[in-house]
This record gives sequence, C-alpha cells and structure tokens, in this order.
Amino acid sequence: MIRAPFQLHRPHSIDEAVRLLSQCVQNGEDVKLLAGGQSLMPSMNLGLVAPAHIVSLNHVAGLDSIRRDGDMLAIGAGTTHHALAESEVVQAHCPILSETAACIGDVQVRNRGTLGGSIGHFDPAADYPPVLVLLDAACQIVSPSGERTVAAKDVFVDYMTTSLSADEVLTEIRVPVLPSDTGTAYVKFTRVEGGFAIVGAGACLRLNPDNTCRSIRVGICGAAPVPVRLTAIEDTLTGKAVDDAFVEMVAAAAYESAHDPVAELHADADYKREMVRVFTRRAVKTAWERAD
Amino acid sequence: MAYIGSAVSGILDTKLVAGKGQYTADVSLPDMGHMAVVRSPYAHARILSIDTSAARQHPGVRIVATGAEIKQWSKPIPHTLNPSAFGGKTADIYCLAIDRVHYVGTPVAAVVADTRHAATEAANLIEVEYADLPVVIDAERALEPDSPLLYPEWETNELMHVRFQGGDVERAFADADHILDDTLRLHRHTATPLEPRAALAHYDDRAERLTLWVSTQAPHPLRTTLANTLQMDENDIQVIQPQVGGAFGVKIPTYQEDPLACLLSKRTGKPVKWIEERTEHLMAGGHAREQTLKFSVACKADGTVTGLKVRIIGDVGALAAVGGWGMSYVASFVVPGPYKIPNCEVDLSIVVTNKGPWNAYRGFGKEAASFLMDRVMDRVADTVQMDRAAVRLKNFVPKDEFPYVQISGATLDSGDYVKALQDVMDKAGYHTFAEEQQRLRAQGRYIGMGVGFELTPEGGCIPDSFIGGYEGATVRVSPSGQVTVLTGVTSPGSGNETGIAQIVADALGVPLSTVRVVQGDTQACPYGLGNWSSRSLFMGGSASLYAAREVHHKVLRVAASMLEAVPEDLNCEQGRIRVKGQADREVAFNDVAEYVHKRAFDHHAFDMEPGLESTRYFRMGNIHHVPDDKGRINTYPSYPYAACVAVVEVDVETGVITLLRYVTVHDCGTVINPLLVEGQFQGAVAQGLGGLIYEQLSYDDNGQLQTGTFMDYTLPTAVEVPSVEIHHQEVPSPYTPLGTKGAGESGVSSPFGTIVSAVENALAPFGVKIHDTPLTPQRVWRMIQTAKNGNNGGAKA
Amino acid sequence: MQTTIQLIVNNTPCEATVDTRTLLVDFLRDQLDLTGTHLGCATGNCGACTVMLDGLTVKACTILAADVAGSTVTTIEGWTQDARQSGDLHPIQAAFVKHHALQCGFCTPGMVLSVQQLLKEKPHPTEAEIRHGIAGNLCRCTGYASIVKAVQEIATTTSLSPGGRGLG
Repeated sequence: MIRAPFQLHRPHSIDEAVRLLSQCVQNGEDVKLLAGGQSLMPSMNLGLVAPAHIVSLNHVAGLDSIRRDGDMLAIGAGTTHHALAESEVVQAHCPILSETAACIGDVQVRNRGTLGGSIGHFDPAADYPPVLVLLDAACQIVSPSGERTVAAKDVFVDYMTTSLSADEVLTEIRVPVLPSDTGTAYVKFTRVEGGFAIVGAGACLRLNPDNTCRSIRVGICGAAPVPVRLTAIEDTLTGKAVDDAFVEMVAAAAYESAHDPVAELHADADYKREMVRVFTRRAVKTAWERAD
Repeated sequence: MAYIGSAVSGILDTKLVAGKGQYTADVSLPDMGHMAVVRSPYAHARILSIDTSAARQHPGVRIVATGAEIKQWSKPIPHTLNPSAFGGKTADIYCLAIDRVHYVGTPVAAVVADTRHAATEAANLIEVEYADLPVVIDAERALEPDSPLLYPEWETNELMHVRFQGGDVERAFADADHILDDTLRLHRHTATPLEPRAALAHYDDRAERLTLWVSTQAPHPLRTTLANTLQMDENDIQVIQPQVGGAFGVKIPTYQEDPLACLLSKRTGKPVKWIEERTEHLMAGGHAREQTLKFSVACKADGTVTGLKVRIIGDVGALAAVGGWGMSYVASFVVPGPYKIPNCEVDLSIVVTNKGPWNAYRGFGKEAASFLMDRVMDRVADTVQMDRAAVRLKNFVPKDEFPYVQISGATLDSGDYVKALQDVMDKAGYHTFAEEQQRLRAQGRYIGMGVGFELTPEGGCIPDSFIGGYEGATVRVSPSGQVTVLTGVTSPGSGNETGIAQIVADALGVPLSTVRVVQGDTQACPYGLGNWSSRSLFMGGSASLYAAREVHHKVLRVAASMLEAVPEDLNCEQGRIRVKGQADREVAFNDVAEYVHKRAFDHHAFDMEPGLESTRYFRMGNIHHVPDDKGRINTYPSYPYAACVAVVEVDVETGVITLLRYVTVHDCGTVINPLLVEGQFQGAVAQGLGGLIYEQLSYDDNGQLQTGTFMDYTLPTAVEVPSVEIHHQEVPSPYTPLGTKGAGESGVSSPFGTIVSAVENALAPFGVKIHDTPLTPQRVWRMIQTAKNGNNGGAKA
Repeated sequence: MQTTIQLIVNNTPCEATVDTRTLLVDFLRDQLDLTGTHLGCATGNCGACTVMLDGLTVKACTILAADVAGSTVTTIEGWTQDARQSGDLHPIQAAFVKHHALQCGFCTPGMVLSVQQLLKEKPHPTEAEIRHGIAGNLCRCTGYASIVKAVQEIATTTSLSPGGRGLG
C-alpha cells in the first residue's frame, strides 16, 4: 500500500508532460515519471520511493509505435515488453531486442512494463541497457528546451542513475536494422523464473564466408553498476577465426571487464565475475550458432 | 464404499475457481476501522519513550495504543506451548511490546483509523525512542557466557535443554568398526502462505459480544486464548474462520494482532480490520528450520548402525507466544526416525536470538530429523563403501516389530519401510541409473540420483496444551435428507472437508452432493482443536465416521420397520435403502429422514430417541502421557512415511541445480482420496524444494532482515518445480477406524536429504560433500571450486 | 488527494472517486466489492491480483486505479460471467476442478486468467510453455503439477470457437 500522498498528473501530450515535470522541478518538488510502473509501484508500495508528484505517460497517445525508418528501427518509449517481443518487425530486424524483451519478468510484467520505463528506472539488473549499449542505440529525449538525441552508452551513467534530468522525457529508442546474417543472443541468469538478472549477456556476431569474425559486439549487465561493452576486444577480434578459442577469448575479456560487479545476497563479487564469464560464453556461442 | 478411495474433486473447487471464496480480507462491516501496527526497526533495544500525540490528532484516527495501555487493558497471551511446562524458561507476551524489543518487526504500537491510508499515516507519526542493545543473531554465539542476553532474568539464552537417551551408547562406540562425525546446518525459511494473515474484530457493545473473523487454523483454541487475554467470558466470543488462503502451520496459534484487533474494537465500539502486509509477514509472521545438527555415528563394517550421538542447537529467534520453538523439540523427538538404533542419545539446546520468532511450519522439526538421518545413512554408506539405499534397508525398523518404541518414546505404529524403499527404487530405475549417468558425464553433464526417507509423525498430542489427540464432529440429517457435518477440524485449503464428506456419504449411503461440511465457526461446530499435523482427516474424519454411523443406525432402524425387515438386511446406497437381494423393497433415505422428524410418535419411530443427529468424539488409542518405566511418553499417534528418489542435474559452471525427477512411495494408511493426497504431497515437495534451494530468511549482523519481500525471498515458480511421481503404499493404521494415518505434511521433509544426496551423487567426480543449506547456485559453485582445489571435507560457502 | 475516474469494469461503465494512492487491486476490492482479485505481496511477484486490463493480464498491485481511467478492466467475476453464457463452467475452470488444480484457492482467480491469456496466444502449448506462461503466478499449495495437468488437458481436448465457449 502506498503511504505518502501524491498528486497524479495525466498529460495527453509529451509537451504537457515536460511542462508538468519542469513545473515540479522549478518548485523544488520531487516528481517521478510513471510508465508501466512495474518497478516504481513496488518501490512505492514498500515506501522506498515517495514522490510528491507523479506524471503518468499512460495517456499520451502514440508512444508505443514501432516503425522502420531506413536502416533504423524507431521504437516508442511506451512500447511494452510484450509488444516488443511479439513485433514481427523487431523479430526480423533486431531479434536480440525481441529475445531480451521476452525474458523480462513474467507475462503480466511484460504486458505492462515498457522499454522507456526500464531505461529511465535503470536498475543495474535491467536487461535492456546492455543490449541497447551493444546495439549503439540512440535515445530521443524531449526536454523543456527542445529535443536531443543521446547514445545509449551515455544514458547509463552510474548506479541507478541516467543522464536524463528530472524534467526530461524519453520518447523514442532507435536501434539499427541488423544485417540478416547476424547471429544474436541474449542470455540471463536468475534465481527463479522471472527474477532479476544476476548477470545478463548479449552478443551480436557476423561471420565472413571463411568463418572469421566480421564483427562482434557484446554487452553485459551485472558486471558493473553500468552496462559493460567489450569495446576494446571487439575490434581486435575482427578477422579472427571463430572457434572455441575465440569464444573463450571473449569470455575472458568479459571476466576482466567485470572489475566492479554489484555484490548481492546470493551472488558475491567473485561469483558474479565468474558468471559474467560463463554467460558471455553462452551468449557468444549461441550467437555463433545463429550466425549464417 | 462408493466414495472412499475415489478421486473426487474438491467440494469447494467450483466456488473457488470462480473467485467466490470469501477470505477474511473480503469480509467488511459498516463503519469498520483499519488497524496499522508500528514495528521495531531494531533487533534489540529498550523502549525509552513513545510519543503518540501527533498520531492521536491525525484526521480519522480512532485510537492509538502502546504497550503501556495494553498492559492495563489485557493479560499476556497464553503460550500455544509454554516452554515452562517442559522445564524451560518463559516470558510474558502481550499484544504489544512492553519496554523491550527482541527482533526487527516486534509490534510496539497500533493505530486504528477510518481508512487504511489514515491508519498508516498516523502510524508513521508515532515517535518511538529506543536505546540500542547489543544484538546476537547466531545461536552458538548466544550460548557463550559473554553473549548479550535477550531476557536478562534468565541469565542465559538457552530457552530449554532436552536430553533423550537409550541403550548403551558408549559401549556401541567402543565396539564400532567406524566412527564418523559431522555437523549439518539448516537455514531459516518459512511457510509464507499466499494469503497474508488477516482479522476483522467486531465488539458489539449492545450485545456485549465479540465476533472475530480471522485467517486461522484453530478457531476454538483461539477463542479460549482470547477469553484469557481479553478477560472476557468465552461465551461472549465467537470466532469465525472464513476461507483460508493457505496456512501450513503459521495460522495455528494466537498471534498478537488477533487479540489486539479485538481490544481496539472493544475500546472504540466499532469493528477493526487488520490485513497483514507481506513485509510484515516475512519479518514477524513466524520463521522456521534454522538448526545446527551435530552427529557422531558408530557403525559396523557391514553398514549396521550401532550407536548415534546427536547434538541439536535450535535457533528459534525471539520468544513469542506462538510456540514455534516446539519444532526444535520435535526434531529431537523424532531421532533416529525409521531406523532401529537402540543405542542413541540426543542432546538439544533451544536458543533464543534477535531474529523473528519461530512459528509452526509444515515439517515441524521432522524435516530436520529426516535430513539428519538421511545424511547419517549416506555418510555410513560412503564410509563402508556400500550403496546408500542398501544401508537404509539394513537399518530400518523391520515390519514385524511394530509398534516400535524409539528412545524418545515415539511409538512407531505400522509400516513396511523396506518395501517402500525397494518399490521406489524400482519405479525410479535406481539400479540402471549409473549407465545413464556415465553416458551423460561423457558429454560433460552431471546428473545424480539420491535416495531419502522421511518419517512424519502426525496428530501430535502435547500434555496440557491445545495440541491434542482427539476431535469432535456432529452429523445432522435434515427433514429433506440433507446432511450437515460440523467439525472441530478446519480446512485452510488442505481438502479435508472433501475427505470428510466422502466418509460421511459412504457411512450414510447418500450422494456426496447432499453432504455439506461446516467448519471453522465456534458458534456452530463442536469444540475441536483445528487443523495441523495432518490430523484433520484421521481424527476429524474418524469422529465424523462415528457420528455418521450412529445416525445411519437410526435411519436403518426406522427403514427396517417400514420395510418389515431387520436392519442387518438393509443396504443404503445413493440415498436408496433396500432389502438386500430384493430390488422392489426399498425406501428413500429422504423419506425416512422426513418421517423421523415429522412422525416421531408414529409406529416406525416412536420407540427411538427423536432426531437424526449425533455428536461424537474420537481419541487416538496409542497416545501415552503417563511415562513408562524409562520415563518416556508418546506424543504422536501416527507415523506416515515416504521413501523418495530424486534425480538432479547440476550445471557445474554456475552451480544451478535442476530437479529432473522426484519419485516417491508414500504411506499415509488408507487413502480416502488420491487426488487430494497427491495434491498435498506434490505441494509439500514444492515447499521442501523451495526451502532447500530458493528460499532464505537472511539477517545481517545487526539483525536486519535482508529478504523481506517476495523480490528477494524467492518462491519457486512452475518452472522450477517438476511434477512428482507419487505411488501409494497403504499399510493401514491399527489405531483409526478406516486405517487412515494422515496426509498433508508428508513430502516437505524428504527433499532435504534426497536432493542433497542426489547433488552429491552428481558431483561425485569432484568429491563434493554437502553439510549446509540452502543449496544456492553460488554455494554449490563454491563447493565445486573448493573440492576441485582438493578440500572436499569442509566445503563451506 | 482525490481524483475522479471513468472506466469499464466487467462490461459495466463506472465512475468513481479514488485517492491517487489507491492501487487498482484495492479499488476493485474495496470500492467495487470485487473480492475475487486477491492481494498477496504488493510487489508484483505473486500474481494473486492478476486482472485483465484492455484485454491483457496485468498485476493490479502495480497499477494505480487513477491511472487506468478510460480503460477496460475484467476481473475473475466478469470473466466467469462472460464464459458462463451457456450455464456451466468455462473449460479452463472445469479442468481446474477436475484435476483439483487448486487447494486454498487464493492464487486461483489470477492463475485462471493467466491460463486463458496463455491459451489465447498459444492454444496448444508444450509443458515448458505452460510453465513459463504461469510463472507470474505463485501457488504455495499445489506445487503446480495439477495446474499443468489441467492446462495440458484443455490444450489437447478443447478447440477454439468464436462464441462464448471459446478460450478467449
């Protein structure tokens, strides 16, 4: 049960939402954006979060569109995990994103939770951030002064902290249309089905006809307070033969990158680091199997 | 026998699938207030002051109470089991803390307001000033002389010390071929039924009468304890149990919030409703299981166990009135379980710590004894290099030695343990498993098979308590032939109402659909002790059978007169009473019922006591509270058991365990309804599996609960729990009229020993030995790493 | 703070004034007396509060009542009534009864709604798909076996039909 009273605002447009947010900010009042609420509502029920104002995005039309725009997919921030998982366009052109959406929480959570809400809340165990970072996704953000585009890697700045300010609204996420020969995979490790990821790893791999690596990208959650992308090794692996040793090199790089995992009750730093290795290995292996 | 033994669906199911079950939280009264409870954020502290002034002035607030008022208005809550009756220490427990808090979540103040929001707002305005006291959260530390004391007047944290001894233990150890020692640790977890606790109290000032709707398993004892606590006449209290959304033991006792809601209703003259939040439940709803089990076992080279020394340290958290500490007592009572080990001693310390109080949870300590004995047998087998099942078969109490008295006085009633284990091994493919295991191991997969055996004493009967070995029931036939059964037992979802209806329908020879079972209302039902320890069907069902037989006898007497026959020649099926072998000579059950009620002075009924109603009580014949020559008493009348085989796969990279198969041969005596028994057993295994791998109530060093929501107290979902393969072995109880022994609790204990054994078997190539639970992936992974590094004896994670 | 909302609950338009803090589950239970929807955890884990919002299952403890203004909500009561047009139990409910796929009944309304959502999307699910489909609904009593069995039976014996007897 929510204990502290708050004012609920239900704007019908993004502009109105931004105006409401900036009013609250100017008045020095704590305000939260509400999308699907799958993280915010439990936090409020537990009394961990008690904003004075809530601005709901659930009455803004058109925030849930998915469309192809040239070599990009433009996905509305209000798109639910379920819609993303079931979208034929996304399945065809960015299957790693549908695979990720399909493994979040459970059916009911996926029916209500949104892509934008997950990005904005940015739990270190969230599944989208590492995948968006590896995809070099771009986030469209509307602020009182206008619109800006921020690369996903620049959105996730620190533990549960994004670069969005309190008066900004994330409206759209743009991800690249992946070449059809790309092998992709997102795998995660949870205590029970539907639980938070202890570790999650995503990989996109393209092969040359001679079975060497044309390109590889890897993104990981659980390795650090922010998503880890294996940028350093990704370039050096291009042109290398893809075999078990290749997979192991990526896994080892992932392990090295996991220098600051967020320890939790059932997964201390050492264990988490090892799981980063294991799940990166599994993600890359699966991506390899799926690459043409 | 039309219904007994058949897989009839639950008689409440059609209502429940439509969402029409009425649970306590669903009951509302006009002008009811809502109660919020302020709880201690400290694990151990003195209360210096409580400022309630702001709360009292908050809009909508009706009443605010602290320990000071409660002490004026009420008496301490009678302990469900008073440790002082067992030679232990005790303390008075009031509805709210007086002066001192002993765990995070201790109730210290309460508010009733017009709305739930107003009540919680006001609760937040109550300022409690605490003085921190040193915290002790580890039971072994708590036993040290310089430990902080929870109850300084005790001068110790040992609530109770118990010792059972039999035979010549020292001799057995002196003559042993092998002596093995080990220490096992079970971790803290709990039942956490899906329906939180809830109460709606209504004190009617005009009638001077209290009604309490409450999610309880034991309405009658609750009424008695309320009368004590509230200083009211029992006659002025009615306790009503609506539909209960799962209980598993935690809803047996009287909680502090029950009399608290009643008191505040009485003080305000208006109804008071309280619904527990999940966070409150996990903090303060009652914990279980956390015990250290040390053993030393003496055996012969052929695997015969000749002596056993056990030391149990039960970490029961703070003392509450709910009697959960009794689980540690039962753990020691059950040793050595189904095995014939005459030279045996058990030394038990029940210890208080600054954690949530223990409260009853399915298993009730028997899971600890099962785990202990399964580990003992596995260790012996490994040492003498015998098959793990073979060692069990060698040491079981033989089937021709029942009743068999264990050192504690536990008197095992009946069974065939050897056959149960042999059967389950056959059904699970025990003898051919190694081939499959080797084949998969070559592929880098680690599967393992384990055996386990749980003995589950049921129907507990503790002297001088409401944990008793009898039950009552009324069977009433209306003029239209409808049958009402009123029972002292209750059903929090366990299905005994269906089983009882089956028994009564068969005894009367009427259609099941004409039988209605009424439970959980102290105004309507005969005094009974409620639902726990799988007792409802074998005690409540037996009482119902006796009452139904008495009514049946009267019906047949009248029918015989009508049909010009003798009762012995009559037969009643599906409401038709016929002269055996003569299809044309029949009378309807309904017509007889109407006759008895309307024509009591007519010639077929005039020489008989009027009415078609009987109330009968049933008592178990094998409970002994008078000590025998060795000072032993028998507090459990029935001993169901289950032999189990588990197959697991361990992902050695992550430590994740997947339970692939769980096979059992289960004896609960005569099976009244296989659908219900199997449902109970399956659910119990799921809880055992959950407890072993997924669920943990974890505290930090300051006594703060770290797993206070379902986000971190992870319950297994449908993905984690496989379907159990259940087979029945029906060895009837000699002590109940239908041979029933009790089902419902069985299944929760065996997963500990069986799955642990299977995991060890899977990880045999690494030499992993398991001593502690839970088997979280991290802990299993670390055991593998430690074993790989050459230390396989003390893998601790 | 109070706010007024209009929405459709179980085919009936309704207007109500709610405290902004009121969760959808509490609104349904306390203000509309639809007590078939239960509250088990308030953290979106247990699924006892599952209802259908605009045709999809959601957990009503993670949604503000005031935020579903303009939406359509169906609870177990409304769904049962729709399904019962021909008088008896819906095939899902009938299978639950036959296999005793419930004990205390507290999770059951939410579980039934999750099963109907699953079968709407996958009329013939595998056992693994069934288990994943109901993973958002915790059951503490049954160990899930009887539920899985009930769903398997429906999936193999019932075919989708356009009328009220379908699985929709």
